[in-house]
Parts: sequence; structure tokens; C-alpha cells
Amino acid sequence: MTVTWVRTGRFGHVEVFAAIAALSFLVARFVPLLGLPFVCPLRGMAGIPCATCGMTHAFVHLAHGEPSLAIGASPLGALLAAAAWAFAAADGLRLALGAPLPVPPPGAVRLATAAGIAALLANWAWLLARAA
Amino acid sequence: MIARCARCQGTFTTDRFGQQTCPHCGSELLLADPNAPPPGPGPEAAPPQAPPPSAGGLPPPPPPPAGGYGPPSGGGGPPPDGGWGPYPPPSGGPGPDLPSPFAERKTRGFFAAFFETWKLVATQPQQFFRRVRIDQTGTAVLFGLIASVAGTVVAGLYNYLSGQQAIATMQQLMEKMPEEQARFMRTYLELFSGGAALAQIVISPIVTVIFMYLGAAILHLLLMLFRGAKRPFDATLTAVAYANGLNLLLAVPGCGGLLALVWGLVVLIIGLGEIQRCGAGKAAAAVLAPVVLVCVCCCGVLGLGAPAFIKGLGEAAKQGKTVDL
Repeated sequence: MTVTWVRTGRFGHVEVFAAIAALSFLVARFVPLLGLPFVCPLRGMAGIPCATCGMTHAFVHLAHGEPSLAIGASPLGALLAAAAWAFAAADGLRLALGAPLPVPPPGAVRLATAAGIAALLANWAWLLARAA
Repeated sequence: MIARCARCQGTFTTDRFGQQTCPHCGSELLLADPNAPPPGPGPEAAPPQAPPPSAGGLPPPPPPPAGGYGPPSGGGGPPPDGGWGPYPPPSGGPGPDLPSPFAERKTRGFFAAFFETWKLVATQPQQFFRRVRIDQTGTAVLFGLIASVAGTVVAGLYNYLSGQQAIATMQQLMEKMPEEQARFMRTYLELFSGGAALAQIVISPIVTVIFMYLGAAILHLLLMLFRGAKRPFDATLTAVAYANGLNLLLAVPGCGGLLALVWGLVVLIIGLGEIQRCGAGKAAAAVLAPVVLVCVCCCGVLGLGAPAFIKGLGEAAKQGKTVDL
């Protein structure tokens, strides 16, 4: 498995994703998201949590420095939040240093995608088991 | 390259454009060069270029053709409105990539370019996504953003004005629902009416851009998983952004949301298949896999709960209780 290092422009797609990740931290930290009267449609109508239930809570708790509450709300949500914010910080640092972008090989991306789907299903199973 | 005879539909292999003789039926046919400049309307039209050394792979995106967007050759000249025009026959190969009309909004006029692009995306997605350039993602994202925001603004204003009426209409239905479901329905209706509808209008531009990028990223990863990502992320983002233009249909009162969803999904599947050169099957798998996964899992979960539900119904019936479904 060989990682390719690519020189990118100042603001490309990677930077857009980094900006989205950074924005998610700001929203989770400073916007009172948990006060919004939103209920998951599946949970509201059938009483069953969906695969992404608890992710908002996980992002908000982690942004407020409460990792145990974040993991309790959704383990995958906590992992996703941590990874997204670490990615935003790393890309900001990379841009500041003018370093090249590491591009993983397609095989590794395919493996990571399959692992992500498996993690999503495992997280859902955990949420269902907890709700039962 | 492989060519097809227009008369007998038989295919044969050739290495040059121009006059050919079909080896099956013997008829003379003209194999158009897709990279040749279109026949211009005036005498200043450039002469045809020499055929490229290889027509098998994808050619690099050329600069916009000076003569407009007419057919590459043999199509009778560009249409009067300067549009993309008819497409070359199958024997012509993939042909050069073209900028979308919206990419030339400065010369064509903003609204004319926008609506011509929208018409191409909505009615000729196969041809449009086969030929559109993928190195102009900014234009594609701007197109999707404008269409989505316009549709959301009109739909939001409509919901704002009709929200209380909808709640009053649903009130009767909600009285027959279990308390928890009725509370959920009330919350849901309030979320899409009144001040919440106006808030959606305000945040819709940033939310649209985020959804376009995240949606394109998820689709590209799934395409890679199915080995259908033959071109880079820019191609997927271009398809997602132009397909997002169908959200303009949100402005249609009543059925606009459903119309935009179904038509947008169809355009996205066709567009991804063409722009990634992976076919509609892999594109449909990538687009529908998350939906199917959620549906299968939800049905499975509901199926696990069904025996208990049926047992409860039976016990209620034995006790003479009425069950209001």
C-alpha cells in the first residue's frame, strides 16, 4: 500500500471538507442544537432509533469536552466528530506549512469504506440493543 | 475504435474517420470525427482537423469551441439558439467534453444559460452528463446552489403561509393517533411551518453546499467500493451538483417535494453512470444502496417487533377492546 503525496492549490475540495468539519465543531459548541424540537422520524413514529440517532448529542457533548457522554449517546458519532475535527486541524496545519496532501491508494479507500459501513451497522445494533 | 453502420446496424473495427465501407452490407458511410470543429455558420469556420492518433481513451477537456455547441460534424450546423444541439451517432466515439451552457453565462446571459442548462439536465441527462466538462465544479456547485435555494425559498414561503392551515387540517387525524405519535406529528408540522420555515430559508444556502459535498463524497466512496469510480471526485461532484438543480421543482406547491426527489434521483443515477463511465447499474447501486440498506434494516427491525404487535392485537380483541389503527 503506497500513499501518494500531491501538491494542491490553496483552497480545493479537501479544504471545503475541512471547513465543513470545522463548522460542525463551531455549531456543536455554540448553537443550542439540543434545544431544537426535532425528533427522529423513525423514533417518533415507530419508537426505534435510526442508524444515526444520537450523533447530534455525540457531537455536542464532545464539543463541550464530555467524551463519556458523547460515547454513550453514539460511539460512532463520537468517533466521527473526533476524526472530523482532527482532519480539519491537520489540513489547516498542512496548508500553513505548505505540505503536500497524502492520497491513499484506491484499495485502502475501498477497505475504509467497507469498514465504515460495518461500523455504522454495528453502531445501529448497539443503539437498538440499548433501546430494547 | 468500434463503428456501427447506420444502415444494417452491424459493428466493425476501424482506425480512421471519414468515408468507410461497411464490411457487412457494403454501403458507404461517413464516420464523423468528434474532435473536428463544428461547421460554423459563417465563412470563417475552421477547416476540419486531422483525426487524433487514438480515439479509444477519454480525451482531455478542450477549450470551449469557438463555433458554439453544435454537432461535431454532419449535423446540419448549430441550432439557432446556440444550444448543445443533437449528439453524434454512436460510431463517433465519446467526443470532446463541453462546458455546460451555465459555464458561459457571461456571454449567453445569466437566465438563458441557467434555464438551458436546467433543460438539458432534466430532459437529456444521458447526453448532458456524457459530454459535460468535469473541471468546472465551481460552476456546477453554483448552478445546484441557485436552483436549490430558489426552490427552497418558494417552498418555505408557501409552507409559512399555509402552515397553520395544514396543522388545523391534520389536527383531526392526530386526535386518532397514539399520544406520542400525535406529539411527534405536531412537532414535525411546526418544524416545517411558521418561523421554522423562514429559518430554513436563511440557512438553506450553506446547508445546500454542505449536503452537495457530503453527498458527493459518500457517493464517490460507494462508487469506489463497487469499482465504478473511473474518473476523479470532480466528476461525482459535478453530477451531484447538476442533479441538485432539480430541486428547483420544490417551488411547485403540493407535489414539488416528491417530484424533485424522484426526478432528481433518476437524473442522478443516469448522470453518475454517464459521467463516471460506469453504467447505470453501478450508479444505481451507489445511489440506492444507502436507501435500500436503511429500508431493509428498518423492515427487519419492524419485523422483529411484529409478532409482539400481533399478539397484543389478539389479546385486545379477546378482551373486547377496540383497536383504532
